[in-house]
Amino acid sequence: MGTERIIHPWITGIPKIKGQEVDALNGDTTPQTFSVNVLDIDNEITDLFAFNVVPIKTKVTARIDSTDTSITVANSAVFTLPCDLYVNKETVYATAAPDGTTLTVTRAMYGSTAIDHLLTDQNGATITLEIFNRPQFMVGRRVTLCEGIEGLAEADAMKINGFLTGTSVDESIWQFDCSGVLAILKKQICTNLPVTKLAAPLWGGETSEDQENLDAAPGPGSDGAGPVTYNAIKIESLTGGNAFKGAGTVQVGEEIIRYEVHVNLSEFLVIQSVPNIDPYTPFYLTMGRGLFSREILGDKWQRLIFDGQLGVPQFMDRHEAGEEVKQVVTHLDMTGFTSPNPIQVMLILLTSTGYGTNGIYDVLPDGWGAGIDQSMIDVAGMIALGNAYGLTQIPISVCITEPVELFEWLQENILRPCHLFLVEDLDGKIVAKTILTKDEAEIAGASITLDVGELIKAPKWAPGDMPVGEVTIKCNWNPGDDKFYTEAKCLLGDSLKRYEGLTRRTEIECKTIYMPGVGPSATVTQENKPGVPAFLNQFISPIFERWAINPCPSIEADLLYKDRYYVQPGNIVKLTMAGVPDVETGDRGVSAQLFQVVSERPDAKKGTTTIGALMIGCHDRNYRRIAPSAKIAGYDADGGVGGVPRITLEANIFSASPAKDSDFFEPLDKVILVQEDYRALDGGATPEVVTILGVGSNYIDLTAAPATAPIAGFFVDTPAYGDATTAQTEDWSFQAGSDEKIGADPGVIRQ
Amino acid sequence: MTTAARIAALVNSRQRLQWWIEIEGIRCRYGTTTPVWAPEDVTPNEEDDMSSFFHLVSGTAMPAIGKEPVVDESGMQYPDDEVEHRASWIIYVPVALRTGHTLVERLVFYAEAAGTAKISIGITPFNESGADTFDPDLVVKDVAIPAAPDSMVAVDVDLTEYIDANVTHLMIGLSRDSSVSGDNLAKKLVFMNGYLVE
Repeated sequence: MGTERIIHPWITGIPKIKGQEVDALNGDTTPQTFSVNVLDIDNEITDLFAFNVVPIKTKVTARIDSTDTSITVANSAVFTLPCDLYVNKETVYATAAPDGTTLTVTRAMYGSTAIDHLLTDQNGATITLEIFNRPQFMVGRRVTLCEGIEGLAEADAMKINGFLTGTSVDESIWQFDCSGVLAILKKQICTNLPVTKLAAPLWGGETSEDQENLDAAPGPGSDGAGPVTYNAIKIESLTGGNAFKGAGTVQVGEEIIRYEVHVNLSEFLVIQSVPNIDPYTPFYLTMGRGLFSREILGDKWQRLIFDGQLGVPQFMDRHEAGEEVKQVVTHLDMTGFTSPNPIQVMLILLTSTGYGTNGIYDVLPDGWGAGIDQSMIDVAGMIALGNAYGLTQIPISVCITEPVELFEWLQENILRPCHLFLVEDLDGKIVAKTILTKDEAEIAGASITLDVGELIKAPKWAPGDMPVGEVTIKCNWNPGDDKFYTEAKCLLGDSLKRYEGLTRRTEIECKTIYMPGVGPSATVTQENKPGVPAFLNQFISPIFERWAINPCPSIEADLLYKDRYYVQPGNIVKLTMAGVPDVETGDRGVSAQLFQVVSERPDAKKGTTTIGALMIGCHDRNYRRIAPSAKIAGYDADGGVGGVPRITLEANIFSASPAKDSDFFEPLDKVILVQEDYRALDGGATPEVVTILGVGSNYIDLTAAPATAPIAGFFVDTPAYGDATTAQTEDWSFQAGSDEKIGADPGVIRQ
Repeated sequence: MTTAARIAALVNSRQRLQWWIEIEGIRCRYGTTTPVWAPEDVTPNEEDDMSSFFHLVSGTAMPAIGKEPVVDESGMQYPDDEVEHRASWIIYVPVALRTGHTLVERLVFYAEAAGTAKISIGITPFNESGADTFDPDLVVKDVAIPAAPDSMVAVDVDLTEYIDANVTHLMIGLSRDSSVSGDNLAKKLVFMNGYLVE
């Protein structure tokens, strides 16, 4: 925004920036905020925004197009020229008044945007438009906070794009409080949808097969309820919103109906246009009706379609005159992207302005998308991300029946199902990031290795929340009755086995995913795993990788400020530090351990930045000592059954009575023998792995004697993942018992 | 320049940061026109010291140094006739700047009215043990306030001679004694800002 302008030096302190924080599993991001204090030394700000001063203004008397360089006004003589003038959010520089009603202007000053300024509202009603000598609002204006370094061109400065959320002034010190660009995602979309009523009954009520008997059906009006329309929806004048689209989709009662043409000035929405057949003539409809069939309730759920395809018998309701008819937004309205993938839908909803001027994804009518300037969105990066992680292979259907908050809708229907989250990058753009598995993180590579050179002090480490034991995906949503017709539960067996009721449950209600083949009671087994919807496998894999079996550990680390460019949320970092416990081995010290950053809190005044990061790839390590673990009470080299070695155990150190710690071990389990600090019994770094032969009350028998005899006070613990028994490996079940398992190899990259 | 190139430039240069803010449709841009040192060279064991390396004083907490009584947020009225009014803060010195570098602190004041004020600037260096390395030394500079009211003035103070390899931080003190000859600023003088510019 206007790099040629002078920077006034009266900023009174280093900006306070509160960084972003990501809840990756929920696709949620807390936008960053920033505030700056400015001394209004020349009263520039006060003059602009002093609302106690009456502004000079005049009416705009003719529509202003975005390319116009003259503005027609009621009285151009009220201003002292040249000067800046403000109309809506645009600032223009008026240089001359060639006559009493015209102003010659330079458009789009100081980073504002030249747009059309209309004299009518969205419903065509006349409005008053005025042009002022000072801006009439401040909150909501776009703000860019730049951070440069000596010798760097201004254009190359790091940027935080955002919006002004509040101002205050105290003794000529103005404080500007701003929120990062992600805050704009709170905007409502799909607004001003037209609403009206049926002017005549709409044929329906018979079963789909009965359509073939339409020839025998009663003629128009024969039921005594007045003329009945067949292939068109007769509607009354609008009661709200914009005009109906030329071709679009409406909801009538609980039925979603696609129509081809809107004709006769709001009188008819023609469902299927056929020459020479009027709307009252009985006609065999082959498209448009029953886009969401009630047959999904029965065993014909495979007919849950949303494409109005030809020749498919569909259910239709009879709708009476007076029933509400309202426009809904579907992917069929996304011109050029009528079979969109999740990334395309997200970009369309983010960028659509209604004018088609904001990039190739600007395809929806005014009010349906958020209209965010595409320069503030990492379009190419989102597409590349979708291609890299198979997201473009997920077919989705969209039906939005009422105004919604963009971010809330994206979170439920795009971000969470696709394991995406949005962050702001250092160019001030909205960027999509994804939860990475260990293999994906290895391939993506770390942006930085954190060691003593970058760390201010040893990171704090936390074990994280309990692992996920159950994932529920509600899908196959019928927008007509707002119900989900499939609830797919995936049980993560190892989490449940280890932590039982302590595990977390996660649930998504996804209104865009339709999984033919998964009904409300379908069961999928290992044998027919190929039949499991790809989406289900794709959705579960990262959760299994990161949040199953054991809690996902996290760190909080203070770094030097200069490193913040490497540690933005979503980035992969490696940690190498002697003082940090290695949760995989129980040793002290980690080397090149992978983490994904989920929060960053820069503090320029302090000269540091603090990151929060989740550990990747060690979810299945037993770093958190909880049963199965046990404290050793004694050891007898030949005290077991048949003279094998026996370790006697304390009863309830890591489990709750009446259970005993020994209850959690099973014959053939491999366990490690460790000291309190996870060192081996001989003091070495690698604990010895032994195999359990038998388990009894308060003891375990071993298949062979350990190299170093354990003593009372040491511990039996479960070993690293690679040494675990088969019973400790991945174990999913999908609405099934333990013998009905599905699952992808955890190491497989999502495709 | 790509982000990668920017990062490289950032890491390879000694960081001197500056910020500015731009508001859509508004002519003015406000910022720190002079880059401010970032503590790139501070070693991790100096974490405590880093907390105040940047010592820009917030505009909302600025002390007034004036002849006329000023009531602060707590309701306290100062200065009165008996009390000399002061402001003080600490500059922590990065390792890399302790030897062979010029260290200049820029002080920024706001004057409510026209006139001339005289400010005493005291500088006390400390070593790692927290003890004074020198006897408190005093530099006195006259701060000339421009004739125009509602104006700002900046004064650069060269601190280089007070720095050596052992000096970890400096305490800076400002005071204004309204009885000093030549001080004829009748109204408030506000200390806005102090930051390293060299």
